[in-house]
Amino acid sequence: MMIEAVKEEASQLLRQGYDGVLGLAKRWGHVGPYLFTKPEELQDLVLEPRYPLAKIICQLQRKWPDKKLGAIVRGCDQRALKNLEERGIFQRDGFVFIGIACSAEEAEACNCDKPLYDTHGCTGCWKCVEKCPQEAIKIINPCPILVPKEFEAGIFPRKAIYKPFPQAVPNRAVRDGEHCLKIQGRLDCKGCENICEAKAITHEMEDRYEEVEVGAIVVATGYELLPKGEIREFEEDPDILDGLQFERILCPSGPTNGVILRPSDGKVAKEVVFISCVGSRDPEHGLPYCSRVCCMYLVKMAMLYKHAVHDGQAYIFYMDIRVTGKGYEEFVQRAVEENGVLYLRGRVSKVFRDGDKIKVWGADTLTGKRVEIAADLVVLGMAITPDARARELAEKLGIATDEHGFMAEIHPKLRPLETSVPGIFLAGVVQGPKDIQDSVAQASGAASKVLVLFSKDELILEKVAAS
Amino acid sequence: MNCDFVLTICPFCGCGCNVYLQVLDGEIAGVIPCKTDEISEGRLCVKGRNAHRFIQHQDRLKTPLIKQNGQFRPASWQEALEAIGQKLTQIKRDFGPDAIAFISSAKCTNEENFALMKFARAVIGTNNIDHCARLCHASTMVGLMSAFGSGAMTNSTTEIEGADCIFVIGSNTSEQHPMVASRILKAKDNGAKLIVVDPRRIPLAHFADVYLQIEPGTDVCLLNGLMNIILAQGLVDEQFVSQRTEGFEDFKKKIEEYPPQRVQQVTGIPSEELERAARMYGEAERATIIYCMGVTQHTTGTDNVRSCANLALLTGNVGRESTGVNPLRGQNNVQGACDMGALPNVFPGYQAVDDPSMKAKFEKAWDTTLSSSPGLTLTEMFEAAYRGQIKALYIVGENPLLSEPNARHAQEALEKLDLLVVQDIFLSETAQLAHVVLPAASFAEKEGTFTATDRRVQRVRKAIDPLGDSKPDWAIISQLAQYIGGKGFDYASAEDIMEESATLTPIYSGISYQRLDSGEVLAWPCPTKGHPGTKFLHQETFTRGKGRLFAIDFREPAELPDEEFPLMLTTGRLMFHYHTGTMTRRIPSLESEVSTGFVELNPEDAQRFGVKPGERVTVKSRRGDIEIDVFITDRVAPGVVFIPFHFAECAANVLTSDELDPEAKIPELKVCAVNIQGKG
Repeated sequence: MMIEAVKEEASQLLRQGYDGVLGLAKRWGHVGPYLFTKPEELQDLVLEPRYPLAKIICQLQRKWPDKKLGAIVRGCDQRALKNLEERGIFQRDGFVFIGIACSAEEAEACNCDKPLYDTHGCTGCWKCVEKCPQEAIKIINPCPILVPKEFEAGIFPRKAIYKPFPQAVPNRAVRDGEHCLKIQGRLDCKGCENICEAKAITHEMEDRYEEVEVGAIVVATGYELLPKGEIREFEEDPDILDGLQFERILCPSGPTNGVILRPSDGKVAKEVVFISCVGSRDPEHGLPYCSRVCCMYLVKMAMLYKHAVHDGQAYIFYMDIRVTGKGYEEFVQRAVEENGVLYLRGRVSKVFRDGDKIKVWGADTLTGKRVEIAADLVVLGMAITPDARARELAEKLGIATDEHGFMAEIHPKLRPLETSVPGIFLAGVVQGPKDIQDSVAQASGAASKVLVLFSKDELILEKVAAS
Repeated sequence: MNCDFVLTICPFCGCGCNVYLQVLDGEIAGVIPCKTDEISEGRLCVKGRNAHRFIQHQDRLKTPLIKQNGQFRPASWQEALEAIGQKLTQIKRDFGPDAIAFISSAKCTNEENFALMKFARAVIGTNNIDHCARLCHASTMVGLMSAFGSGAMTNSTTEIEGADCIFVIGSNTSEQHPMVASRILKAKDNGAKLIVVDPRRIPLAHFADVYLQIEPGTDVCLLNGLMNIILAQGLVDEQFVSQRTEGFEDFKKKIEEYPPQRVQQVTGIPSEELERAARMYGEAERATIIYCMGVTQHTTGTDNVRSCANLALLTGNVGRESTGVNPLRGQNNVQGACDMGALPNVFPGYQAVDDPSMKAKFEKAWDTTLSSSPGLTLTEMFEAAYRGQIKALYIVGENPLLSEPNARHAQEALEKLDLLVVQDIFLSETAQLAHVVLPAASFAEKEGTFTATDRRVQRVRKAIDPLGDSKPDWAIISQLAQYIGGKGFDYASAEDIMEESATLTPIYSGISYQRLDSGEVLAWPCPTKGHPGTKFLHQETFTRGKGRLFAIDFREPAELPDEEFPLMLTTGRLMFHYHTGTMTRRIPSLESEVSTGFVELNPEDAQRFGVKPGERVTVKSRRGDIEIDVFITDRVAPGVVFIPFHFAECAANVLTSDELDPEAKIPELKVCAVNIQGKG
């Protein structure tokens, strides 16, 4: 019985000299929070129902910072306290958690989205987190497999059982059947099974397709970047990154915690070269269009880089600075004047490794001189291209794509959200390169188109005749 | 290190939510909802969540205050009790006991109401005791008492969930009784139909299957109209009517005078809507009526209540689970204050003071002689004080200066008194006029019981010691009683009082602290120690025998709009504040939500009076005027304005009329005529 184990654990703490253990007690016929200070009081201890205790725990700690305290808590509280700890509101040191697991029914009732392996079994008790001897990894993951993590743009690894990205909704772990040793039958590995106290992990679950009937579809499948290897003049090297990869390195909650480290040797990058229009506006590579967002994101990255590495130098090679949004031009000016970002007008002819450095050969067409920079890191503003599977999707949906593979609207000026199929709408870069603002605006438009469609009980379609 | 979580009852509305007060070394650090409580189910409204924030507020009264040369000075208990005792004795000697009146408190515990009631009746010898129920559900007491034999909510809060049709009239439930509203919405989720009748488009109206935006004050006409349709369409529960009710023939004749056309003319509600509502209610298997101040605070309050009772009787929707006529009580313990006899005409348990056998019973128990003439009601007390007939007024935990209608008149009345004693936790507007102010302990500092709106008696537990020199009200009253030689006030604890009241109050006889502390849910009547309490009333027979159908004529409100005062004012409350704001306006998080009053005005009227949004205007009635900001909204219909009454600086009750319901003596707080003047 869980309750006996919890009582034993709590009474041990109290006997060891802890001043109090917060839990739930039944008094006056009702269950509520209670701070147990003597082992004999624990006879009133109960575990049901769920009470959120994180706030009370913080209050107790603030009131009595010198006391040794513990608490009997569920996974949700542990997660809450972890977040509070990151914000400096709660100090984990010296505070003892006695974890209790929720039953599947309770998890269901709470609509709890925990990192589940078996979506019905795991109760989010996070015992597995507690069991980790060093808090080296935030979420212990005993899986032996390492593969490039998609969310980190492939530059950092993940396990075969992992959370796709920090803000994933639902916030659950997923299993990568392609790499899992046990599923592939290569090894009877039970790393994750052993650690999960809720016995939530099954390797028998399989992916399945679900059929859903809908009245409208908004296609918002996004884009891909042109692969770096497409440009032969630029070598493939761990220190030559595309925008999405460098974005992860800049991210304060990313794999390097926002420290600008070179993937090759983990040293802080002191000179970074940003190159715009890599593939874009380049008919030779079949991409005559402008990708629209690179000018802005490269200067943003250069600025963030300068904020992270004050003594570093950022260079941006450009053809034109195309920044037309509200406040964009001022932003570029600020980058140049306040952050010392150096703009070089000209194309880059070659990027290659030279010992410890990455050499960038280019031209400054304003001074007419050849430029050679020995950089630590090179960031390429790769062209935006349609997702490789977009054409296939378009065929399935019966809608048209343009010459580059972006989904085509029915009328570029008057009906920019609609496709040739009534009830199918477009939002975002799937239709063509655009920035976040435009994507959000278009998505809002598409959503309201859907609502307009659903607001009537009957649907009136335009007559279409073959001619 | 002293940490405790004390289970007690939320001090705001009548829902009666169990809450835990979190106490850290004598400081109340928070309110935690009780997950095992069947009323709140572990949720609390914004007021309940913040209930701890006024308890240890710096403004709390900590010593007795005596007024000298127009200024308060701190005094000792000895001094204060001496001053009050001497004056009371003197007034009693010179003018007789009926020159003294008591206003008890629906915020205080049952024990404290019992103690004050006993003090008034046994020590002073007057039945002049009343409390704010007079201003809220006096008409319910009279109306339901005459129709059913009991003036309380017939069914329990939890039962609402199981109803098929919910008829909400004159209750802004989601703002004033959030936990009841959550039951209504749950019932709605379960497929129940919801009918909302209110002059304002209240939040609940958005969920209603039928929303009837009624002209204020035309409730009787509307209800008669509904019953006319129910009769015409044969939706009457004939078995129920013939076996369990009386007065059907007269009633039927009267109802026939209210065809839908007439009702449409008076109430402004189209007859098709009326018919939909009537069918919905009439056809439901289990229909429940929920009502509140919108029904009771009228000169026709008693008629309104009886009409609601008629509707339920006609369709057989009483005496079964999930049906009934359910007045929602506004204060945490207004039900208990009534039960404990803080009313001028009854002893505890609604035992009439003019019934010789009852009088004899109490005289024997208290070893004294009692008055057999019913005392003055709260509204009459002010009139009597104004005339000089009442010389001393002892007010416990109420702020009538803001809650009384025609507030300026009330102030003049109070200023004429020889002795005004106010016992409160804050120096309220009323307390500022007092001769002696006694510091009382808040709900968190004392033991006792509250009775929730659905008659459920629940325990209030002490979380911290009383602040400063303050004392629980029952202790103050006991001391004062002993000081002037009253017998039978040697209570050692609130429990002693509860035990005494149980022996004298049949409906409470089976209730004890021991049973309540073991977690039993006890709703009165609970006549014996083994009785499980009563979930819903009138199951086999009505308390009075048969349910009485009344033939009721529609009467117009006392004051209607005219040339000079063309708008109809209706008053009410907001979600974030509680009554006169003594508590909630000291809670920063609530004060920041709504920090002052406003007048709701329809856009059409705004145009008509040339008023712009947010403009400061003067609202004027025959009794007074206030300055207030305008909030233009179509929540109110054209011709109707709404002002919340919480705010002293723009007190709605300066405007309201003190016309009374002839039977219940409840003032018409919901309708009066006003005009609006912009600055420009």
